Amino acid sequence: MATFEKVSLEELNRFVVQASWNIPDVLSMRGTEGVNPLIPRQLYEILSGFDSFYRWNTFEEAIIDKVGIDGVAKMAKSAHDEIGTKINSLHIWCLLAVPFGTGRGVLGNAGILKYSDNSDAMRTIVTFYKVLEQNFRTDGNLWTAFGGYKTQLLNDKMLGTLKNSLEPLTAKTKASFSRFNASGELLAFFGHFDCRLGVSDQGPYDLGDGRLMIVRDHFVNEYHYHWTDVCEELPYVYTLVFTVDKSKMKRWIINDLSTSYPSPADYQPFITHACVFKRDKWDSSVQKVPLGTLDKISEQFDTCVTKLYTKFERMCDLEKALCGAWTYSVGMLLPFALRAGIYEELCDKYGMWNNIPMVFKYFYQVNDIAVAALPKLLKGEGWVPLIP
Amino acid sequence: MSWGGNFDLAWKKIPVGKEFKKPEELVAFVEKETKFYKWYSGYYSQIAVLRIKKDGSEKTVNVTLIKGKYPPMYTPEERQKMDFDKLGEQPANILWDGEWNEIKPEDFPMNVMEVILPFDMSKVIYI
Repeated sequence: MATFEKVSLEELNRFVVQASWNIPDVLSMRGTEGVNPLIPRQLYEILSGFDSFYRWNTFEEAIIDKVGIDGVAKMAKSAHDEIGTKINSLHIWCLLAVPFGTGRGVLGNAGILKYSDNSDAMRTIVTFYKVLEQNFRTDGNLWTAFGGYKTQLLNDKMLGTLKNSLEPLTAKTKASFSRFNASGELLAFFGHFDCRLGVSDQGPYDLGDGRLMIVRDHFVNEYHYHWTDVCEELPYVYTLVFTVDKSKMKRWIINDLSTSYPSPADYQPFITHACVFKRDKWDSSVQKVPLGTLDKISEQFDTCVTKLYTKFERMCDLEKALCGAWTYSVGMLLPFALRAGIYEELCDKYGMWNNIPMVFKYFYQVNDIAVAALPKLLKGEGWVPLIP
Repeated sequence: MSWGGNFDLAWKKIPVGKEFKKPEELVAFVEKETKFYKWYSGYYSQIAVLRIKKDGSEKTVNVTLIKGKYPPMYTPEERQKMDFDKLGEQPANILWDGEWNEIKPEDFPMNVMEVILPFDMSKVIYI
């Protein structure tokens, strides 16, 4: 068992209230997505909440045991000089939001648990989140909303490298880049069971020359999932780096879900320069990708999407729900477990992929529970302080 | 609900020591003295703890204030057109049915000794 100083119950109480305001902000912005009739997102989000609420503290304490709290802080800081990494805003945010929101919130609203239950586990979860977030963000804030909705992580050296790699776009390369951006995003979403864990924006970085730079990761081959075998010829991630004409943009917001909300929404006409990089595995070196090859890669993306559709179409609801839930209950902790060198141990010794019995006990009732609970969760309710 | 009674970790304590006859007076005071959270999805919020005197004894209660539509469910087109700064100029309302709100209209007139802010908003950047 890890020995480290957890947040106190009082600080946990305050923290939970503060987080409750962040939730309706990000969820309502996200609420613009459509419903996917093929993939039961709502169902798997809630099932993953059960696992994360009851088990993540164990996995997180194992990580802390292995690398120490300093090691956790160090892995958060790795984002300051790396691109193509899942140590990003969304993954860290989810470590708090999922166990509290879809786990505790739904279970509490349904009367299955008392809000005071599992308090020691919640203290671990909040401590782990705080250490990550306060070392990840460079402005000392806990949420992007408090830092002007910017996620500016990279150090000057990395920013300089990216800026010097940018190429001005011609009409032809601009069209290729736009297609690459769209096809890659579709595959990254689909490979992660239609959630946004496969994409991540950071920035905007004001280059001081009239351009804003955005750094965007598309994780097109998360090879730790069995269904992404259809993507095995692709690298783990492509990183798209592009600039927009600042004078044409009213605003560029990036929220805690690593998602951009530019205004005007259609920023494509204002892209001026771009470059693309890739990493073959999560810890591989970064290689530049020639813009002239983007059309061919986009075709590969399209082929993979078609294969994934076929694969998912053959799955029953139970299998799709479990796979989707794994993208949360395993996938959200995955980058931290890998970096700590403990992923295999979490699988073999801790049974990270084995869902708790509660998932199966309530599987067929979750939709009924969700109907009652989710509107309240959208308002941030369910983030009830613990009663000491 | 409990925060821990003596609020040693609270960021700011604002002495008040007066009676608010109507909810609007309390809202005006909190608006004037505090900085609200500004959420770009389309609302502003504030939660304050009030130390009040009632029937001869003191107790603490939470009050939740909102500006804008809550929950902030807008279409992308509506959000694109929104002027978030102008939204902040709207008067706030008490979120009477909010989970965090512990006061009711019939609690007024209300004798408020102190307003306590649990969170430090002083370093937050608005855009």
